Amino acid sequence: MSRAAKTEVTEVLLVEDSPGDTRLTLEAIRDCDLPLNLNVVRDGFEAMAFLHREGRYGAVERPALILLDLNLPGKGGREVLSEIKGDPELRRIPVVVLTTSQSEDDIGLAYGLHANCYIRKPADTNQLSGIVKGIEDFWLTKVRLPC
Amino acid sequence: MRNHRSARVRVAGGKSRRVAIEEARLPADTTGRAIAQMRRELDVMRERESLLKHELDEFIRLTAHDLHEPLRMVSCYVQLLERRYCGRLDSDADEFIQFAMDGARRMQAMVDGLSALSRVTSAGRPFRTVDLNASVQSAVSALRPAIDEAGAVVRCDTLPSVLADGAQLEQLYHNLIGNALRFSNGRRPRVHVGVENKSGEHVFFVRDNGIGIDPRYAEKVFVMFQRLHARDEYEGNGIGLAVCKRIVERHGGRIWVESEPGKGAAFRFTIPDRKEGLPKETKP
Repeated sequence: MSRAAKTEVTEVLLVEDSPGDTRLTLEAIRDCDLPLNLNVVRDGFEAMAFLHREGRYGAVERPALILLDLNLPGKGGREVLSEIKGDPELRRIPVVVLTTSQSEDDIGLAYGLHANCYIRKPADTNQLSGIVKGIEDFWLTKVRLPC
Repeated sequence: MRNHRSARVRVAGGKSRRVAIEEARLPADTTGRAIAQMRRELDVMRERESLLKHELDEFIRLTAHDLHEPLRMVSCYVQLLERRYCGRLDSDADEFIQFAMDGARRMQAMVDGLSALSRVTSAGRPFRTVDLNASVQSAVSALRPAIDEAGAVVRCDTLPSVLADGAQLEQLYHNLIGNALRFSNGRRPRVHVGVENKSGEHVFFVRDNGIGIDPRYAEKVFVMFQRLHARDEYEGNGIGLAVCKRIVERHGGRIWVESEPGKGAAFRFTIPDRKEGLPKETKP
C-alpha cells in the first residue's frame, strides 16, 4: 500500500507513562508531518483494555502499530508484550519497543517475547524525529501487513 | 634485651657456615598469635576493600542509570526550544538557550562516560584466549576513518595471545590508539603498537609522536573527567583512559604512561599471563 493510495490517518497506540516522552513523540510526529493519530495510554492495564476495546475504549479503532515503553507502572511493558504476542488476533500488530533501557538482558527478553523491533530512546530530538519517521516509513508505508 | 644464638646454615656452593640469630624476646606462642591476628585483620581488610569496590561500582552504575532519564528530558526540551524559538525571542534568550544546550551536552557525555565505566565490570565477559593481533586489527578497522583523516601511520608488531575479555581488549586498544590520533600536535601521527618482554612479563605499549604529557600529570590522565586541555583544543569526554585503567585492572594488570611534553607518549600496560590468581570479581 503506497502513501498516495492511503489518504486517511493511521492509528498508532503509544503505551507510555511519562508525559515528557509522550509530548516528545507527538512533537516528532508533528515535525515530520506524519499522517498518524497517536492514542496514548499510560499503563499496561489501559493498554490491554484499549486493544480489547473494553470499557471506555469500546469504540476505538484497532491500531496499525504499537509503540511500547518497557518501564510502566502496574502491569509492565514485558507483560503487555507477552499478552499481545500470546493473542492470535493482537499478535499481528507490529510492536516497536521504544525504551530507555540499554541492558542486553532487556533486549534479549523483548525479542524473546516476539517484539518486532527494539529501539533505545535517543537523547537528541533530531534522532527521535528520524526514528519516528523511520518507523512510519518502514512499518506503515513500505511493509505489507495483513488487513 | 635479646637472646643471641647461632645456627649452622648451608650457603651457596654447598658449604655451611655458622650464623648468629637474633630473635625478639617474645615467647614463640605470642609471636604465632600475633601473626595469626594480623592475618585475620588482613583478611577483614581485603574483604572490606572488595565490598567497597563493589559498592562503588553499584553507585556508578545507578548514578549513570538514574541521571540518564531526567537528563534526556532536559536535553530534548532545550533542543526543542532551540529549534522552535532561537531567533524569535531576543539575543539574550538565544544565548541562554545555547549555554543550556552546551551544559546538557556536556552532562550527557559525562553520564555516557559513567555508563561506559560501569559496564566494564557489570557487562564484562568471562576470560578466554584472545589473539591480541585480532583485537588491534578490529580497533584499527573501527578507527579507519579517523586514521585516514589524520593521514596517520599505525604500525602493529606481532602480539601474543592472552587470557582476557576480547571485547574489552579491543576497546582498550581502540581508546589508546584513538587517543594517539587525537593528541597529534598537528604532525602526521605515527602510532606504534607493540610488546616488550621485561623480566618475564609482557609489557604492551601504544606509542605516539603527539603532544606528549607532562610527567606531573601522568597519574591524573587516568582519573575520570580529568582533562588536561581546553575543550575546544582537543575534544573528548575525559573518560577514555579511565575506562582503559578499569579494563586493565579487571584483568589484574597495571597501566601507566611514559612521556615528556612534545616528545610523544607511550601508554604501557600488562595483562598477567596466568590462568589463576585473577582478582575476584564482585557481582550482584
